Amino acid sequence: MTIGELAPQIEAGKLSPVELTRQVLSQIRRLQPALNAYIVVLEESALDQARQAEREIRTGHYRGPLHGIPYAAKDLFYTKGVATTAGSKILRDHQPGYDAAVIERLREAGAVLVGKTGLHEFAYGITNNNPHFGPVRNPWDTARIPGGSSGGSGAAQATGQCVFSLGSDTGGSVRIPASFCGIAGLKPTFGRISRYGVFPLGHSLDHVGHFASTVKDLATILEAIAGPDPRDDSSAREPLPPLDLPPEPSLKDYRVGVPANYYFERCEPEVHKAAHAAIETMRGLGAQVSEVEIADLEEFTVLGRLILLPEATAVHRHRLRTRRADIGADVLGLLDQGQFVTACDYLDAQRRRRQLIETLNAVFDQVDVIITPATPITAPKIGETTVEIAGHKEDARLAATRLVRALNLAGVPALAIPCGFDSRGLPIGLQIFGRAFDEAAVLTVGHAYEQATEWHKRRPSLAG
Amino acid sequence: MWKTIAQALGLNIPDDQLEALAPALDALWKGARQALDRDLSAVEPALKFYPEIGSQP
Repeated sequence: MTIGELAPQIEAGKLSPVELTRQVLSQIRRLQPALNAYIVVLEESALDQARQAEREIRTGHYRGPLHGIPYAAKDLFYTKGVATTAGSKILRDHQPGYDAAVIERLREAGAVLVGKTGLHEFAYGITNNNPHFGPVRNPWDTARIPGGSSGGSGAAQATGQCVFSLGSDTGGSVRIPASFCGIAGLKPTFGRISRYGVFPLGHSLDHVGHFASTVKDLATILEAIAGPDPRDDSSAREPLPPLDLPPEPSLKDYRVGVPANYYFERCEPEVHKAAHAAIETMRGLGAQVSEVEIADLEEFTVLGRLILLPEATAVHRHRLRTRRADIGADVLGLLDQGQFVTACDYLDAQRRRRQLIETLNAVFDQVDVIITPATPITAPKIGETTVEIAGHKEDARLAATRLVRALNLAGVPALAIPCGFDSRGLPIGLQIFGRAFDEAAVLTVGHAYEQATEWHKRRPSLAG
Repeated sequence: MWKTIAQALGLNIPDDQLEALAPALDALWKGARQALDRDLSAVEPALKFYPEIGSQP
């Protein structure tokens, strides 16, 4: 199900938003026991919203391509009067008095919220193995993680339990589930989408992002939710240009960079091969492919952690002192670590961060986009804390975030899309990133690649 | 070292949990020193962070 296919039918009155919402709710009922993608399903209010959409459309008040389209939101987006847990036992009964800005915008666009999806506790981790709400499972192999922290949104998206979904990305939390679940996920430029009403993890790293079945759908959603918001002091005024993705898959005017260092150095061989095959596909579409060098990435990945640790601990310091027993062991460990980072190290890490931005901007004088694997591995098993990559053992969390985290420091737009499957049948993700505020280039390249390939059309068998 | 710091700061982290954290803290400390032991005094911090100058509201 894509917005591109559904919206014209809804607009023409050939497809009822109520029927579509019922279909999605039925899929949720069927798959929730196996995948646990949702924390709460909003059946009644979703059907009310769908009925309202149907009435409006019938009376000639069509709002646009998201009108009557069912979507899911990671359970850290504030929803007025509906519990927003952030995946925490402590916030199980937390009912915000207002909606997140992005929820407001989607309501104005006429989209139908069907439920709130599972996440890693406080969005602080990549497994979605949540001790309070149970693990979210990967739809391609339920013994494996969906990636996180927006894993519920990823699993729901991959299995038709929504038409699109919202996530957040502080160190890869949209791109990792997109990679592990075989769907499209976008982390737009920092400041592009308001974070008002989004439970924070790291204030200088948090990005709102979203998932869809196609890159074209991602663009449609971005047009609805992007834009300045005076209630979020990180919100940018930069206008979003029209995202008219070309119908023909041509990359004739695009300069595509392939990193000679870091990104391809420690990947599973099948990931390496699939990403290089994707680059060759792009070359075949007319892209000018060249090697680029991005200095000090290993260092910037460490700095990303150094910045996040105290930012997250600052959010939770009071809970850390008063509710230790109610925080899961892995998140508790990270929150404790954050108490040991000095203010000087934090500030100097923010200074080095400036240098990363300057380094990347210089690379973007040579190329329009850069292509890398999204993750060096495919989805690990639930409970697997180390992974083996080409004979070397590595912490699973650090491996999954290794290729994505630096881009949260840089704040640049980054897309993850499927580019193949490994021999176990697990999806392999490709990352495409570009200059700040140039989502158009990133989405255009991703869209062209998608049109030239079939990977995004594969769905897990349990999706039905 | 971490135990001394934790006690001085009154962090109340149980000993067994602190011991489990020590390798991660050691690695973080080492990584931070490699990244930050340089003169950064001429670089503006990105405290209020915007990815591109001019994008401020």
